[in-house]
Amino acid sequence: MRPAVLACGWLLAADAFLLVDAALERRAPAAELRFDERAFPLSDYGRDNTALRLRPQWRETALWLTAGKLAEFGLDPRSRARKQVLAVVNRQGEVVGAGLDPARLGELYPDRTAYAFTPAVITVSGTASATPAAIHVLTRSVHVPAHLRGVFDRLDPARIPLTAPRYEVSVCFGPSGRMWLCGARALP
Amino acid sequence: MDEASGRAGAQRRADRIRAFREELAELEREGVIGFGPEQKARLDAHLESVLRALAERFDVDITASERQISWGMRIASTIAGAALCAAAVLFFYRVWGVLPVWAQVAILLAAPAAGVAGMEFCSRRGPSRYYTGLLGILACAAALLNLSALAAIFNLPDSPDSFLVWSVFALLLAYAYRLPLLLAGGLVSAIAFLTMTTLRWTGLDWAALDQRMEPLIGAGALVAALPAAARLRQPDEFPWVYRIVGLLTVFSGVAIGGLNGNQSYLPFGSGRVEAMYQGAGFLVAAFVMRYGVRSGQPGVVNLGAGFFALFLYLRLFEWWWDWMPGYVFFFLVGCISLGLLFAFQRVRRRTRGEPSSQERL
Repeated sequence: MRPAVLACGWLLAADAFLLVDAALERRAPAAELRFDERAFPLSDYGRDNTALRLRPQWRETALWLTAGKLAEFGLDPRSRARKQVLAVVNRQGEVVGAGLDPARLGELYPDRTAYAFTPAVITVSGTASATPAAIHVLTRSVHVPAHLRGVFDRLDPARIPLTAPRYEVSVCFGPSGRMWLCGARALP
Repeated sequence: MDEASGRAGAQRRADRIRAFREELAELEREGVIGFGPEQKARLDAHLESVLRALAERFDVDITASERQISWGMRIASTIAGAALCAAAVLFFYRVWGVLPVWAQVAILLAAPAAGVAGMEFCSRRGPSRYYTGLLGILACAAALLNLSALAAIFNLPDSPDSFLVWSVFALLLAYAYRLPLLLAGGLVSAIAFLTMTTLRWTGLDWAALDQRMEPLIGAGALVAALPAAARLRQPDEFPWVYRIVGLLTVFSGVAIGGLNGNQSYLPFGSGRVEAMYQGAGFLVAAFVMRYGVRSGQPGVVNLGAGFFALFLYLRLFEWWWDWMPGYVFFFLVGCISLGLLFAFQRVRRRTRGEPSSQERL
């Protein structure tokens, strides 16, 4: 019996760690950005999944990620490597910069309604090319909580193909850059 | 019969009693030995009481037909476990979109605990260990869903640490209820965790397990060596699971390394790394066969022999297929297979202590 109780306790401890971490992250948002449907479209999971998720369309073209910039992160453009950083994203979902120190990034991008920082990975291919490195934002989908799904359930399916965005979402970013949906409204 | 040797030990004793009875009947028919009716009745009564006790305590198979049906039950309970897991997961996904976050979290937290409670109930009062195993599969699926769905609800990036949580959970349940399938699941998760963590520490994408073979081979070797090194007190069938899971991982890593030399930490060119892994494949397979023969583990011998043959045929295909007519290739493969058959026969005779045909001549 004791190992079985330990097994449940172990799993509950992992859950508690995760839930406390999420609660602390959400206690005081560090930034709040508004995105429209083009940057945060809905994801279709089919008939067996009633969950709603938005799939951010990050624009990760990183021409600014030069050899000099890579050296700032301790990366050598000639050797294959990977490093986790904080990416700076704007309201269009474009990755416009990256850094390691959130305080320093806060000084460079002080407007917390125009820029947010979120975990991303820089990958150096190690081969000679015009773009020696790429940046990849780690969060690839955002959960829609039940109290916000009314906006999405009322969407007019006849407005496909999309000519104008049908909704706008507010995305909050915690101190370590994890994001969650904190608001949504239909657009006229 | 002590608890540590468990069901496997009990099953071996039941098998010995069945074989003893068959041989005794044969010897009586041949007139080599004879019991009086009273002695025979006493022996039969004793053996019957031993078998009944084993069946009640360990749910062992007493007759050959029971054993065959047991295999069917094992397969049926595994399929039932997999199907019920799929049903539970799909049901959760079907309803979770309309549930508030607190209800989603409550269900995810309660489901594994409910599975474990069901296992405890079945192991104490249930009619058969198969139901405990089935609920064990469900509890592990609930644990998988628990972390992956919580990560989805709170938009957390994937992490190899989840595999550590799943591994410890499955291993604890495997030891609590003597379930080899959960042990195998726990070990696979542990291997995934060790491999992914090494990849992460060395600055690589941890999710692509096949990027570097060395962590996979190292984790497999560690798992295979653990029962001998740690000398854990555990059910008889568990060391076998450790060895098979560990060795399968090692052989898979060596096979992939022999096919693609780019997936290695070794500071050599791709061709040289491939050659090294190809040579290592034969050496490891031969070592495993030798170890299996010496320690009397037929499963380990078969695994080593199987991979030795696989490595050999892979090399033959790489070396000869392109420049040799098909019929010559298959003729040579046939001749080499006959050579392997002869070699395995010699090994078998040596393990029996019999002289080989040449030695006899």
